[in-house]
Formats: sequence, structure tokens, C-alpha cells
Amino acid sequence: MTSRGAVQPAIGAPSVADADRAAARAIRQLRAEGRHEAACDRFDEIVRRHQRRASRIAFHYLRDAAEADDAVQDAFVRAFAGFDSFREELSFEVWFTRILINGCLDRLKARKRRARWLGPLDAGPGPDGTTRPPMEPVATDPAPEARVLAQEQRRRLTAALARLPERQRAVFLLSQVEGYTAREVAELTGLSESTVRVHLFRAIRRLRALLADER
Amino acid sequence: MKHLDDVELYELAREGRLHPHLEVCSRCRRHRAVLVQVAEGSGELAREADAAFPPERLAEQRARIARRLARLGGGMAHGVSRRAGTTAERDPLPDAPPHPQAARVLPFPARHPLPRRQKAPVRWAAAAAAAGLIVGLFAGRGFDRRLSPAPASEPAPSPVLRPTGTMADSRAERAHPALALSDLLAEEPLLVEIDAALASPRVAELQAIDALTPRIREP
Repeated sequence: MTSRGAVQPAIGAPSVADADRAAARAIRQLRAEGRHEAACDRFDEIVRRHQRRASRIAFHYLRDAAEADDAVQDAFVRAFAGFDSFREELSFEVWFTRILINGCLDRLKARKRRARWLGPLDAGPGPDGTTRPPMEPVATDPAPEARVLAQEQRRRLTAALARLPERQRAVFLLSQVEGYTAREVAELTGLSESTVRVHLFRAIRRLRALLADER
Repeated sequence: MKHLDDVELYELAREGRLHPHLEVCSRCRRHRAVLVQVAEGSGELAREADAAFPPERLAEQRARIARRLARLGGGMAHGVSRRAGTTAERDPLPDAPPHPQAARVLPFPARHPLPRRQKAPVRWAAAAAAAGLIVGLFAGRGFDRRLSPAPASEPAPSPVLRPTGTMADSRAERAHPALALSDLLAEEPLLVEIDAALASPRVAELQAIDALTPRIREP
């Protein structure tokens, strides 16, 4: 699996997957020796390689930067704590991203549960995943109209995505926004590759219908 | 005339390519035009997600992860690893032990075991009916008290539980004070239990008791 958004290794350096495996082996060894601090330091290099992409994926699911931040932290801590269950023949990226996605789905369920029983909160995302727009950096570009147009495109697509069934939304986001292949999405979601393609087809068709209705 | 399917049109839209079929088919042209928006919107989503996590935020995230792993160190030395990664780990109580250990319930051996009694004739139906009535009464009061922290001068708002187990639309029918985040987090286990209880299969014998149990009604 190629990395999207991960820190690119120098030319000639081992691939990200190889670097992850080497780090995983070292971390296991250090933990077995009781050298927890050294294991944490080694784990930090894995965090640096994957946190940007992980934060993006969590943000796509949760639509809230603070909650996505928490979800990513939780996922990395869980991955470190559960390192004994990581099999080196698999890709760390796939294994970790599954932990992250499951955590995001748990948070979404909890959010829906709270909204169902306690009503909407004054702050935070709504039960359908849509939320107030995240804080954006101050615009300095000379084309505010282009920025407004981009925001509007995002808003419309986000609203349409929120109306997709969960799996179609996940498949679309992972493949079309994050750039994973169908095989990689299948590994991440636990679906078969053919099922991923079916979900993607339905997601695109549904998005087209929803956005066409708005015009 | 065979049209291009949505995935093909989306690929064309995303890559900015055309297809001979589009010159002769207005339907596919229209569909492609909409899918161009989807493709451009996808690019914007990726940029938005990147913008939400600038380098400073990522650095702070790494620092927090490192702190949580450092706290995990002592707990993992004692074999505690399953509960790692929960939000509770991030904010331990001030008086909590620094390295919480898993608690185990030890069975306490009885010094004077009670003599075995002969089984009385089983009157489980009557016992279940009485128990269900009592549990329903107390659970109803306890549920009302948990979801209605408002002072006694105000009527306690509470959800309506129908015999079928569905929940009335609480947003339309309730008004409740805003809850602090700590209250919400404390409610989560209760909410999980309620969801599980509503989803669990009903025992036929107790349905009659269920019908007799007072329901929480809104004023």
C-alpha cells in the first residue's frame, strides 16, 4: 500500500511499510525488555508518519477537528497498547486505520445516541454528522470569490455525503478523497473488493442524483 | 445508444477528459457536469481536512499522545492494556492511583454453608409478576430522576416510553437545560444500557406486567 499524506521517505530509503515493520519489531523488543520510554520514542516515528493522514480520515468521519484529534490520539494509544496483536506480514497502515475507523464509528454512534436521548447539544456536530464549519485559517488569497465557491462546493458535497448510507460514504471518502484503491479500501473496511466497487458505484450515482436535484 | 455509467463519467470528470459519446448524448453531458462538482468538491474536502490540521496542531497531537503513552507505562507494566485509549485515561481523577490496576472480584468462601432446602413448588409466574411490578416502579422513578435534574419547582421533563419500546421524538416534546460535557459523558453508560434494554427480546410472560407498569408521562 502506498502512503497518502504520510511523510515521504528519502529516495533510496526503505518504503513506509518496511519502516513501519522495522519500528514495530523494535517496539516489541523494547517492551519485552521493559524499556517503555524507549518504546514510546520509537513509536513516535510511526505517529509522525501516519498522523496527518489519520487526522484527515477522522475528520472526514467526524466533521469536527477537535473530536477528530481525540479519535486519532485514542487510535494511536490503542495501537501501541495492542501492539502484540499486530502481525508484521500485514501493513501497519491498514491495521492502524481499521482501529481508527472503528473508533470514529463508535464516536458517531455515541453522538447519535446522545442526540436521540438528550436532544441536540448547543455545540458539536449533529447526529447526521453534519456540523458547523470547522475553524478555517484566515484567508489571504486574492480571490475571495474562488474561496466562497470552494466553500459552497464543500458544503453541498458534505450535505450530500451525509445522506449516503454509512458504508457508501466510507467507501467514497476513502477511495475518492483519500485516494485508496479498491483493494486497499476492502482491507480497511473488511468488505470484499467487489462489494467496495458496488458501494462506490452506488455512492457516485446517489451523489449525482442529490446534487442534480439541488440545481 | 449505450450510455456511460456514473463511475465512467466520474472518472472522466475527475481527470478532465472527454469521451466521443458525450458529443452526441446530452443526458451523459448533464450527468458529467454534475459529477464534475462531485470531483471538485472531493478535492475541496481533502484540502479542508488538511487545513484543519496545520503542523502546530499535529505537533500538539504528538505531544499529547506521548503523554498518554507515558502514563500508560506503569499500567502496562502491571498488565493493564485493554482499557488504553479511552477518554477516561486522558483525564484521571485527582485522587485516582497513578497506575490503576485491574480489579478482580474474589469469591468469598462461606464458613458455614447453608443447608440445602428442599425446593418448594415453583410459583415462578407469581414471583416474576411481583418482581416485575416492583422493579418497574423503582426503575421508572430512578429513570425519571436521572434524566430530569431540574429543580423540584419545575416539572421534570422526561421521555415517553411506549409499550412497543420506541422512543417519542424527544426534541419536539422536551425542553431541558443544557448539560455539561461531564454530565453527558457520565450518561453514556446509561444510554448504552437503555438502548440494549429496548433492543432486547421481550419475555411473553412479563408482557402483562409490562402493560401494568406505570409509564413516565410528560405533564
